[in-house]
Order: sequence, then C-alpha cells, then structure tokens
Amino acid sequence: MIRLENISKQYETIRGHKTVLHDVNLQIDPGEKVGILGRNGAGKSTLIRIMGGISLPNTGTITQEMSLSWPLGFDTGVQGSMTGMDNVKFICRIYGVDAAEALVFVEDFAELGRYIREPVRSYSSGMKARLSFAISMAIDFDCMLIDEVLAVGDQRFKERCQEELLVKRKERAIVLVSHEPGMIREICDSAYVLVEGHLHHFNEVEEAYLFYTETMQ
Amino acid sequence: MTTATSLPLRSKTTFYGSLQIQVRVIGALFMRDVIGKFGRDGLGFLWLFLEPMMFAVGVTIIMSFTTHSQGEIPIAAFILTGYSCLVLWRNLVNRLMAGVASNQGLLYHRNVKIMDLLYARGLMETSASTVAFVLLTFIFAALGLVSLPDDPLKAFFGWMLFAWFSFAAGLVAAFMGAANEVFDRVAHILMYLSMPLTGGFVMVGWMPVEVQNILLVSPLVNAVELLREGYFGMSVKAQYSVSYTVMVNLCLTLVGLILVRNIHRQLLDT
Repeated sequence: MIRLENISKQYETIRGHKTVLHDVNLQIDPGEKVGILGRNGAGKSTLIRIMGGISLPNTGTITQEMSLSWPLGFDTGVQGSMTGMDNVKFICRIYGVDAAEALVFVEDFAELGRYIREPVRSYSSGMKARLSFAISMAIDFDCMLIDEVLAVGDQRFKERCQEELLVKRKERAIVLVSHEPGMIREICDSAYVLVEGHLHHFNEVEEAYLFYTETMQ
Repeated sequence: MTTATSLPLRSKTTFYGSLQIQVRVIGALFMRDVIGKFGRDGLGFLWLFLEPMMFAVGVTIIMSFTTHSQGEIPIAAFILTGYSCLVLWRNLVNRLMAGVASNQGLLYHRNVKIMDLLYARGLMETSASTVAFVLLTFIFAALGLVSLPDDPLKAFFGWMLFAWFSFAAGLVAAFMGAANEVFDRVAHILMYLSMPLTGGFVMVGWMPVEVQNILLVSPLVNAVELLREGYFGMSVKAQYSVSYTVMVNLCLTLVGLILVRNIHRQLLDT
C-alpha cells in the first residue's frame, strides 16, 4: 500500500511560487490498477515523481508499504553512456537483485538482440523504453509507476507488456499516468483526474473519462 | 499559513538496513565509474600510469638541467611525490564538481542519493591515484631513480590526509558547481592558483620564514610534508602538524556535507 495524504508541492519560478499540487490525497492498494488523467502541465509528472521518491513534497505525508518502480516514461532511468547490458547489471546492483537472472529475462523481453551490447545512446526511443520497462519488470516491484511509456512501444510490445502486467503479474499494482484515456480505459479499475493541481477521484473509469472531457472544454 | 512538516524524510528503514542499501549503491556506482573511466579493454587503465609517468620523466629531464638539487632529495622522487599529490587534488576536486550534473539521471532511482555519487567518485579517484602512485614508486625504484620509501606507513598516512582534504574540498566544489553556473568557469582558475598551496613542488624548509608561515596554513602542504618525511626519511626536515590538519579536514568535511545536503532539493525540484 502507498498512501499520499495532504500532499502539496510548489515550485519557485521567476514570478514567485507556483503551486503544482494542492492538498492531494491518494491511496493505492496491492494489485490495484489506477489511472491518473490530466492535461499537459496539470501536475501528473510531479505527482508520479513524488510517488517515486525523486521529488519531495513541501507538505504532507507519504506512507509506503510496498516497493515502487522508478517512474517509467520518456525519462527512462537508463544511462546513455553505458551498454544495455551494463545498465541491467548496474540497476540490479542498486536494487539488490541477481543480475544474471534479470539479464535472461531482459534479453528475452526487450528483444534488443545484439543491441544489448551497444551503448544506450544509440537506441531509438522505443528501444530505450523497452529496455527500461524490461529491467523494472525483472526487478519485480510491487507497484509499477508508468508515465505514458507504453505509447512509445509498438503494438507488439504493448501486447507483450499487457500480457506480462495483467496476466502473469496480475497481483502487481499499476499507476498509469496519461493525458490520453485509451490505455487507462483498457487496463485500470479506477481513475483520478488531475485538474490544475487538484486531484479528483472516481470509482469508475468511465466517470473519470466523462469528467475529464468536460474539463477539456 | 500552517504547514504540516511530516515530510517523508523520516524513513522507517532501520539504520542497518539503510547502511546495507548505501553500501550496495556505492558499490554499484563505483563499478560503473571504473568501467566508465578505464573501459572494458583495460587500455584506459594503462593511461593512469602513462600520464603521470610521462610528466614525471619530462619534468625530471628539464629540472635536472635547470635547477640545483636542494639537499638530499633526488629530483625524480621529488617530482613523483609532488605530481602524484597534484593529480589527486586536481582529479578529486574536478571530478566531484562534475559528478553531480553528469550523473543526475541516476537520481531517478530512489536509492541513489547525491552523497552516494560523491562517495563512489571519491573512492574511485582516490584508489586510482593511490594505485598509480604505488606502482610508479616501484617502477621508478626498479629504474634506480628512487629508493623505496623510508617509512611507508607514515607516507601513506600523509597521503590519506591529503586525499581527505581534497575530498572535503570536492564536496564544497560539488555544491558550488551545482548552485552556480559561473563557478565552472572560475573553478579551473582557482585550481591553478591553488597549486602553490598543495605543496607539491617545494619543501617548506626551502622557503623564507614568512613564506613558510603562509604555506603551513594549507593542510595540503602539511600533508605533503608528512608524506615526504615518510618517503625520504628524517633527513628532509619536514614541517607539519597532524592535529592541525585533522582539525581543518574535519571542519571542511562538515561544511561540505551540509552544503551537499542542500543540493538535493535544488537539483531535483526544478
């Protein structure tokens, strides 16, 4: 379980404080698939970075009782200067996971072929996303934080991810953040909508979707 | 405005659990730095020795024409100790300063903290310079340019005091580099200006008394004097104070740690 209580976040800008998150409350239980919808600049990335322990909120409490992945998104958490293989080994060491075992899984899942021995900076964005996604699955977190990354992969990779996340590891929780409701409607049980830093909770994804389209007008 | 300040800084992980994570992370970062610096083929490793060796040999040749050897110290050995220290100082400060910005992506993993990046880099640079210094000593000794250290333990102690100060200064530099973009430009000038205060190329005893007093303010000079006494024996008449050096090192380390703590928020929250 991870619970965010009364989380607020401000950034310093040239024109003074800008509040990005207002008093946000959110709880994710094991196995839950939660979507967070929001337009560009609504504070989605900030929220997911706070959940991932990268940014600290200004006020509020976080109670964390399960392991969370790093936010999987365009910023992939892999290092361009290292080869794919070295990234696997490095990240496994950081999280205390056996690298040899993980490597077998990553080679199979990411389907990078001989590119696994090339520096990551030579990868396409799809390949990077596949690598980072595969590594995080090999580490086997209780909850995956996904920031629109699935949009980067092609259809085949999407299907393989869904198979892995929804069938083989269905006891894992997922937080999926997106500005686009397609994927969230497909896999999430409930959803939140983030509007200008305020988080609204909906038990049904369809309700969230309706509210979201209203706010778009 | 009331603010609940129950930030997630207070973690429930035990001290031992946290220590295990930190050791693991620093180990992983260290390995990564080793591969990054030396590559897989080990050719980079050779440069670690070739660079200081070429310099030492070159300077030895020039100096044997231009200067009269001061006292009992052979020039090659004097250059070896001085240059090794200078490399340690330069590399630690420069690499720590660059270490935060260039590794920012790694902070994407919640276990990786800025101090881990700096510890790993510091450990890596210190080990590399130490290995180079020791191996060069043996190589120079085999060539008959120097004799083996008189008191290796004392020399090593001086070396470690030197590395400690450099690391602490590197922490401050890491903060300055992250906090201020202009600092990068000024930093290499400061490094040049600091060269006389490293004590690499003179012995305090060769200087007039007024200059001696200035030089001995620098903990680096104290450490190098100690190193040279260990290396060449009592005949070099080194001047140093271990307690003074340790005190300054402790204070600078404290300042560095406090400053680095402040980088974390700045870097990640933009």
